[in-house]
Amino acid sequence: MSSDGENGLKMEDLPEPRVRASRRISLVWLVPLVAFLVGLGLAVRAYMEKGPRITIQFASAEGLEAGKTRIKYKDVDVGRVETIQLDGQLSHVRVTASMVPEIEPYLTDSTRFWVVRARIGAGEVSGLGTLFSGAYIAMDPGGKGKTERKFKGLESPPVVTLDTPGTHYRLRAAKLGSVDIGAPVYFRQIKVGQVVHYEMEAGGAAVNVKIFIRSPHDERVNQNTRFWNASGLDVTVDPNGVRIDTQSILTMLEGGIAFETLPNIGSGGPVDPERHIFTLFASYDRIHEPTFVRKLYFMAYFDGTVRGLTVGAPVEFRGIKIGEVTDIKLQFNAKNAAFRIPVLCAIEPERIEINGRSTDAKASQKAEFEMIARLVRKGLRAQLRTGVLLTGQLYINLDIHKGAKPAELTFAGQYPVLPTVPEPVQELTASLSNILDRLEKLPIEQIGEDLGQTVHHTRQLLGSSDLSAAVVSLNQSLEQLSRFTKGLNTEVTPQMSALLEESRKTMAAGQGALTAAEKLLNTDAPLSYELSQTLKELSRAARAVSNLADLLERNPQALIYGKGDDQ
Amino acid sequence: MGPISNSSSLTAAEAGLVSCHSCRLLCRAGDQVKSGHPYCPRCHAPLHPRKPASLSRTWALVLAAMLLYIPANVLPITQTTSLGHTQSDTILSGVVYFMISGSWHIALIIFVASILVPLVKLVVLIYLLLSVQFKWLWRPRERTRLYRLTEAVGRWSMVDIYVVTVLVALVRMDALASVTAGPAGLYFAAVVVLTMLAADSFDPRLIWDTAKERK
Repeated sequence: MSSDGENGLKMEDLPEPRVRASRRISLVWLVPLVAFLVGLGLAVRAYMEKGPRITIQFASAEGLEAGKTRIKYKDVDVGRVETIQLDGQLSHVRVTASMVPEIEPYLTDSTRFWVVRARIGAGEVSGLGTLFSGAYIAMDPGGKGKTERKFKGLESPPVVTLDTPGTHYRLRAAKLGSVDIGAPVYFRQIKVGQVVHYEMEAGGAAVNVKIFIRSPHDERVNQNTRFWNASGLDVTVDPNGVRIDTQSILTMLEGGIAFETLPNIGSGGPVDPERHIFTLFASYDRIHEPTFVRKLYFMAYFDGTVRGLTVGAPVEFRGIKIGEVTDIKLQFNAKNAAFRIPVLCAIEPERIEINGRSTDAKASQKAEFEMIARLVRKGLRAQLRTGVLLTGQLYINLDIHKGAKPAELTFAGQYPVLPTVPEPVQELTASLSNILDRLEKLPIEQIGEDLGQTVHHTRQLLGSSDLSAAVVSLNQSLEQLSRFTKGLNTEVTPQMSALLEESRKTMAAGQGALTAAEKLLNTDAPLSYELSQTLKELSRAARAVSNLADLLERNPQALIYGKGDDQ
Repeated sequence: MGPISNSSSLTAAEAGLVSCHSCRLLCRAGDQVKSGHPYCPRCHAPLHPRKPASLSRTWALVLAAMLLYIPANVLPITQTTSLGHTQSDTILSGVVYFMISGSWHIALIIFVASILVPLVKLVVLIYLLLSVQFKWLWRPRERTRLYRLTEAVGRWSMVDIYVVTVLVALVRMDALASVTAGPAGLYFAAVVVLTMLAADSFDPRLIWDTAKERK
């Protein structure tokens, strides 16, 4: 400011700038403000659009790519895979995915996920589009249910998605046969459904198969519907020739189930598909045979002998077979030194048409026990009965005994224990053995000896010379007598003939009794009482005959003059 | 301090002079220069001995660029659809893609132009701003060189935008393949422009003013 310029220009000559009032805050700060607002807007939008994060567990991540693989429903993107990780035990793959917010209400415990890959099976070819676009995860949105964020992915596409109209039914089979998931279900050889699922029943007693029948064919299913395994080829050789039956070529490859609704007595009413369990018969021919897969076990303890009761013996209720004996054991209680015989019986509840409630297997197990307990309180008892008297086969009879001692249903381990009542056979046997004991004590031998002696005496008597002399004199006497007897004929002869007749009859009866006694003793038949009576009578008769002979020996004239006063 | 401190240099500001940016008229800078808004008596263009509000302006622009740098890298810059399969790429995933597919030189170019340069620019500008703000004396000449470098290299970041534009225009094979620009393009362009403006609004003379003051 002090020095002059070298070109002679004075600093003071330079023009003064002019001045405008200044703004306090620079407008440039609007720029970061705008940037901040934009960033904030983006963040808010990202937050709003952020849907739920879910994890799906798969056996393998084949075809899946973190950050790229989509989750689709009806080919619309509903999410995207974010990470793919192995789980702790290296046994599964955990796929984390972020879903669009709109899908949130459909992520429930019934939602299913599976990987769509190109698949070529016996029945169908699917997912060819994924050959170009890569695999994606398909979703079957769940219905109402608990909100869920962790899912277990299916290894194969589900046979039926939730939006297909139709009904699921449950079947029960002794064995699976060649039925596979996805196998067709036929009605009059038209494919109306598919096998959805199968699993071993808890305990391994049977196989549960779940099938889906599309609407409107599910209307054909009622309580009289019979399902049978239509897998494979059914070749029959009979007098009419060779017959080959099959539902379709497809069932030969992957199995199948067919059904038919039979006309039948009983209710053909609608079924509750959630609870009713149909039986899956092994073949078409079997559907008319009732087979019972469901069994209800109970135990009955018997104190007496069970000779004649075998495994497989029927269990009847009022004469109708409802089950059979499955096991018999002998138990010894060391504490009170007592034997008892537990008999395990299996009842097939399906043999009983139950009105008034549904016949569901799992849920009603408790209810069934409660019902049995109620019946026991009403007097339900098990009883041993003789089926055929000759063979001595026993069966177990269940019935309501009104007068039975009150008892409660108890449990032995897992089996309910039915109280028992003594069988009528047992009572009969007791009285019969009493009779036999008494019969044994009878002096049969002595009676026989007496009888022999009597006969001997008679013979001696008949062979003696006295008798022949007597006969000669008797002859004479008779001649006299014949004249005399004409008058007495009406008096003495009928008596004599009656006496002889009676004696003869007695002899015959004695013979019969002897053989009967023999039989009786051999076959252990009852009715010995009569025999002893007869024998007594016979001995009495024999004594009478011997008396007569004595009398005649001493007083032969007694025939003519009667017994006389001295007798 | 070597050549800086012992120089007998005189700046226009020290001499109380100011030059008009538009018509290059040299004026005397009186007290009024500090109090208000002077303007050129000849062409009426505003006069300022140093770039006006250089620090605060640069700070504002750098801050804005930093904010926008986040969506520019997080959001996808391209959406490639080929054979029905749509794929979104951010700048970084594009670099990774090129690197994995073997074109490492393209990956390098994109990495340098789109990630490294904007980032380095922002860092350098922040460093320069801090050094002036807190009147650091450390190596003013190197810092000036750094500034010149920043200003020169800034526009090359636009390469990424050009690549996207060219791709979008060229790859239009409907069903087979198509590329559309993603939302990050806009933010990325904004970052580049804002850093360029920030570099422009920074006055490197402030570095030397500090050095002078401290002497």
